[in-house]
Amino acid sequence: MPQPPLPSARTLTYSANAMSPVSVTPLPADWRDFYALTKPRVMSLVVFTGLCGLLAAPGHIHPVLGFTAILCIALGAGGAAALNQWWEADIDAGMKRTAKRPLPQGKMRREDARDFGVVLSAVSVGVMGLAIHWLAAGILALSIFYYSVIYTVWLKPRTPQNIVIGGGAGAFPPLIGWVAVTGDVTLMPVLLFAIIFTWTPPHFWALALFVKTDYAKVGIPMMPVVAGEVSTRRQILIYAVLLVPIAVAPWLIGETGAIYGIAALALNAVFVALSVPVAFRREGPDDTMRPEKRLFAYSVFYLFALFAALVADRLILSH
Amino acid sequence: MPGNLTMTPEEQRALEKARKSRNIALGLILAGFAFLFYAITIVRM
Repeated sequence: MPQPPLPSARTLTYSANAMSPVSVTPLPADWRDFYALTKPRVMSLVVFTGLCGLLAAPGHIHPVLGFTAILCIALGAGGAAALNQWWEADIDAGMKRTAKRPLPQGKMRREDARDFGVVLSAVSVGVMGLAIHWLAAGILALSIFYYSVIYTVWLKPRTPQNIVIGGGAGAFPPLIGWVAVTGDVTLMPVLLFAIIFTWTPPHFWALALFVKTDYAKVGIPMMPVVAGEVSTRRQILIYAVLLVPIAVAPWLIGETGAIYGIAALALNAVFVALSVPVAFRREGPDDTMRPEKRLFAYSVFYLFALFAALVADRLILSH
Repeated sequence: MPGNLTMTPEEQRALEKARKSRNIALGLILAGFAFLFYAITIVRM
């Protein structure tokens, strides 16, 4: 059944006239609606990991250029998020978690969200290239394409492995931050990429376990929907264990000191410990899903703490 | 046929408010970029 174009509270009705037929169009969107399109909460994690990559990299970057690099990473992430919401407006409308976003609420025209995403993406890549260098700009462009096309358009609606491969999109910021300083892709920034890449599946699947009814409703093949709860829980633990050597590797190869090494060991031990009960339990009737919610909350803390330890290690050991 | 837009006074106020807030935000962003490009130019000289 076709959906009504927009909620009436935020629409104007044009009368029939020589120039246009009777139609309904949204009011001009408020700046807050455009801000919401950039997924500010996700952006905070992107900015943080990008900043950590920039601060942990060996070398020096002028504060103005460092600020510009982080701004470009944030703008790129915001542009990709806007393109994601433009493409998924119908899906978002069907899920409780996303139904209040500007497009499902009819607060702006869909093409405005698309144009906003394209402009933000183009500006972020252009400024990064002109102000920093084109290697960083190229990786930023790749990360935007990865998220808005490879993940959003291609993988997400087709495969339950969407989160595994799509996790790469969120793994780019520390790599870009690092490359902005060094101008070179070496093993260490690739390891930072690998940490977020491996961290994403257990982080997101923990969330998907307690919101799975929403994904099932809109036909998105998230792992709990397609492979089932048992397989998803087992894979959460597998990825949590895989994350241990990857997170500790920067210390083992001598790129960081003991501050990072000990923090990585402790943080990963807790990550695995919280994944074990999630892996071996089964959802019961009226289940509050506390272990899954606890693991999800901890996974966010884990990433902040691990990257903060990386920066602390670099700053303390370099003085 | 008339070419008028039918709006209630409330809709008119909402329209003007949204437009004004968006223009202010856009102006601030443009000013910020002008300052940023100036600073980048100085740093890279």
